[in-house]
Amino acid sequence: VKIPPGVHPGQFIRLAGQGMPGHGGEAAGDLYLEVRIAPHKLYRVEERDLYMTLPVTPTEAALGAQVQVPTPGGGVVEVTVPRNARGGMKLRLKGRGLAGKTPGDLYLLIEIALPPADSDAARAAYEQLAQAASSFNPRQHLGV
Amino acid sequence: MATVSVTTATAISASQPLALNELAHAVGADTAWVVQLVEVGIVQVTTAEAPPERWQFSSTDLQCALEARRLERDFGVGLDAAALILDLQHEVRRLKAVLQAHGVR
Repeated sequence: VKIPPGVHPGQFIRLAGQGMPGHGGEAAGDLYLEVRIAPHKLYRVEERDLYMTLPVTPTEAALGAQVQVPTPGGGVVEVTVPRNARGGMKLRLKGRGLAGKTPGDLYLLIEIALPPADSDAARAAYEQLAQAASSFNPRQHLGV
Repeated sequence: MATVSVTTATAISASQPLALNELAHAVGADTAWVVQLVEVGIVQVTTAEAPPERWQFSSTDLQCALEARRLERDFGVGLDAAALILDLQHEVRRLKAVLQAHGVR
């Protein structure tokens, strides 16, 4: 079966005349296939939109960066991560979701990936950051 | 060697919807049953003011009709109750899809 382009989860594909045979000379029925999209290792589907987690380093999130992102079509696009990006922030790539008359969008969910402090240089850099941002309290809203 | 036959695959969509008799046939019911589905709101007809033979149905309508048929056949529920069950079922599915899209299992 050739899947028509732009189909989405829950949509039905009709194969004319491929259903149960008809009785008494009647034409055979149609066969309906319900579209389900198998889980993908990168993309998650919500209606016509696709979601992908985009890991960025703390420096990329804080300072902003240009990062490369694979698209469902097979290409790679360069995306601007804005300065002071936070974990959970969504970046939208318009029209890069599922194809169709009105194509969906591709959403990138920012996830901050911490480099491990497993070397003297990395530990020193974290200590320097701790001093530079000593007034930052991520638990302020807890009242402590 | 396996025989491969080529057939026409049509995606049920706004440009290629199902007619009333096609929806009824697809779910093994008569057209009066589909009219009842419209009356209780299980399937939506955008052209409700048009005569039933000109109604058009989407993939979502086919899915709802199949589920209503299953509820009626397997559990003996009436169409009003089926409408309520399907509403709740779709809301659960929608919320699960939103959670999954945001990376929450």
